[in-house]
Amino acid sequence: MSILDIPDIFFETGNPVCLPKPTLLYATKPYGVGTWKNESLKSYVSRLAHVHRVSPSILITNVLLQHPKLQNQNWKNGRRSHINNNIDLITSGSINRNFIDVLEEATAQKNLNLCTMIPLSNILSTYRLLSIRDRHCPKCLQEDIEQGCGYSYLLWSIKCVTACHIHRLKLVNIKCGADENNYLPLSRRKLLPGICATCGSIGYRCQTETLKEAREDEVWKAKQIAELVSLFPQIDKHFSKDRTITGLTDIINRIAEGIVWVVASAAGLSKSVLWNWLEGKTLPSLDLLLNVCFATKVPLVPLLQGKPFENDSIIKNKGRKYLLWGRGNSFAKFSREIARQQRETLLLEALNAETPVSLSSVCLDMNVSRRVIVEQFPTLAHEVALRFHEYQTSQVRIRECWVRNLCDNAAYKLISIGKPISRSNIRHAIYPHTLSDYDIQRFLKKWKMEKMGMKS
Amino acid sequence: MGTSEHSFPALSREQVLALSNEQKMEYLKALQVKHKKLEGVAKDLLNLLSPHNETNILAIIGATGVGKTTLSRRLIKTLIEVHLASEGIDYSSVPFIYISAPANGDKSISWVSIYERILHEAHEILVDKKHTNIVQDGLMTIQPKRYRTLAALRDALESMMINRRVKVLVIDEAFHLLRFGNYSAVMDTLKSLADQSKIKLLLVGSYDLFDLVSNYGQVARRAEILHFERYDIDKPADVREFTRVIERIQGYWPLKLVPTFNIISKELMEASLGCVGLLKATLLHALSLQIDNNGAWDPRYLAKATKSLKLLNRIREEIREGEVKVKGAVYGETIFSGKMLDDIAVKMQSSGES
Repeated sequence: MSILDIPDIFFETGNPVCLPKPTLLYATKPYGVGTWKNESLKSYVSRLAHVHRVSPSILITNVLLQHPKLQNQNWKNGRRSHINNNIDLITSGSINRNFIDVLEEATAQKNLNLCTMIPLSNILSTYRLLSIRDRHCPKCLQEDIEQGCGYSYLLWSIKCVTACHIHRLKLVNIKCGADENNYLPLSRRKLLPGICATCGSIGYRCQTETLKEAREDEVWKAKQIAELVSLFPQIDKHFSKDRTITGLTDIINRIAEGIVWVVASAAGLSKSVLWNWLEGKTLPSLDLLLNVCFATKVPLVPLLQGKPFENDSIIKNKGRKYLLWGRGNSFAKFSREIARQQRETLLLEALNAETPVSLSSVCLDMNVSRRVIVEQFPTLAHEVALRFHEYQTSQVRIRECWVRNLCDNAAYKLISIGKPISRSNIRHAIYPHTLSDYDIQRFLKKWKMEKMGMKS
Repeated sequence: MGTSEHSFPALSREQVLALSNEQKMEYLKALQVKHKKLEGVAKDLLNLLSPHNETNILAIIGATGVGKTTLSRRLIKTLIEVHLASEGIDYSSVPFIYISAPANGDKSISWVSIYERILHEAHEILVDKKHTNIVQDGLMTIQPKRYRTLAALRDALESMMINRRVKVLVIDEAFHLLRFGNYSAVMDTLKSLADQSKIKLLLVGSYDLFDLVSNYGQVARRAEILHFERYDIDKPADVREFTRVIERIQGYWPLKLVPTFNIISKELMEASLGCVGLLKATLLHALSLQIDNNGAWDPRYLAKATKSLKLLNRIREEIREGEVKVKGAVYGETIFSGKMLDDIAVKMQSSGES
């Protein structure tokens, strides 16, 4: 049909001319689906908000959460504040599944669940699968930005991925390294992958953390998980819980002659954990499963497919000796020693850092409990904690002096112009600085007491 | 009788006669006749809207009541039908947008209201929450939060045009854009919008639009002006076509007693200045008078149905000024026209034969 096919007589009703109503949101496609560079859902939602020129929280709160499917969810009860921290967007729970359904309907995209851990939910345990901190590989990000599409990979959200298998560098925490004076006010901060949310630096150029070379086992683990992520679109076809059990059973039979505890101790697990996996009572955790793979030199993907030795022509009957790592040491002992060295290094760095850090934050970075650190390194832990306590106390004192000086000057200014010393007047007088009600009230109380003391 | 406007094409003569008075008026108002001038402009427009054509600013100008709005609305409807038929339904795209430029009483053009209108037409979400980004010295920040700023809406509009894969934006009543504004500033904005969003911009309006589009060299290269001409009483072919239009409308007259307008076609052409839109308005008014008189026709109704002489002369003067202004400046009026075209045609034909 062309415009020349207009009939000789037609009726123009004057109703608005319009297409069928389009999708609620733009049909932005997620990057890298089907490859190891698969985008995370948080990154996707941030980019979606960016093209709509609104903030992610406004997009989610004012648009997506208005859908009836999400009306009664926990999103409304405070968890909405975590939207920008994102961890909720890539888990495999029912809230997230509903969210993805709504998002797919709004964008006419069909594969958004591949940007989350949902494909793994029936195969691996998703408990503590994800990293609390945002991390990235600076070189991968730089390459993507140069191609015009900086975004965050799903791979970087997985806790046991600590390195980039392409550049062989440790992943870097996304933490602003700019001077505090360059921090942006909250209303001006841009939430977009590749942009520092604190100072706005494009490509996280504000970061001061040095790039470190990753260990071989870290690179190997990252590579295994990258291969798994690249197979997300076919996960239903090739992976299942039963196949994982078959793969584990095959490994135990071929390498350890059917003796479970041999494989378990070599991988640093308890026997009961491995038994529970084999009997299907619990799903394997990725971290521990990778230890099994590393100890037995079996790639992760063939294990999960149930054919761990399909491409390996050498394996045949290697026996218990195969599980020995280094000279007479087991893999478990090796990995414990590495972990210990890492913790000691981090504690020493914290002790020598220019700005003291708390022991709790160091433990969080290491992902171990405070009790473990104090038990393993009592002296170092005590020194770090003491240094931080002294620093905090001095900072509090410095601030108290500053508040006192500011309020004193404001009070004298008010007296000189004949205005009463009240909370609101002080607030006006200290402009452009701002203080909390608590600080001003405390000052007023002390001021009154001093005045009463002077009078008497 | 429960008849909606959408069922008008299917109504038989008896059913039309059985409509209520109000529905009869709606019926005649909705009735449109395809005619040669409409067809000619539509054909040129379709060529210029082709994606391979570099022209990205088009202006349809013509006398008031000549049928520009009817053409642009019909164009969009047909483009939508073609789009849905050929490419399947892509629910995420909005390839065609039609808006009418607002005249909101301000002393200068309100780009905010125009941008908002376009965004609402495209079913854009959160129009009042848009922000714009500032990229400077390796930093990206959000402009301080004042929603609905011009920059924020403009940024959002460009993003919408790209992500919704908009192909054509029609702005009707485009003369409102220049009523109070600076011409070059208005054209700068429009040109930039067309370039940044890679869309074709179609402005529809009166002869005033000509100054907007033609006096700006930067725009002239990528712009074309289509003149929707009226029918000329001095040209027999135009008179015949106008008479045919009248006969067609007469054939769908929604009353039992049908006035013989075709006999006075020349007079009607004079009274409507050769504009089919004005003709329709005249006949519609005549119909309402006939309905008020219980269906009886009196030729004296034409005295009230047509424009007063002074008003008609005023409109005639404006049209004549406009026609003189645009002569030699519209699409098709190039150095390869007139006698030169005949000579060239002969030359090329003879070289082809040899």
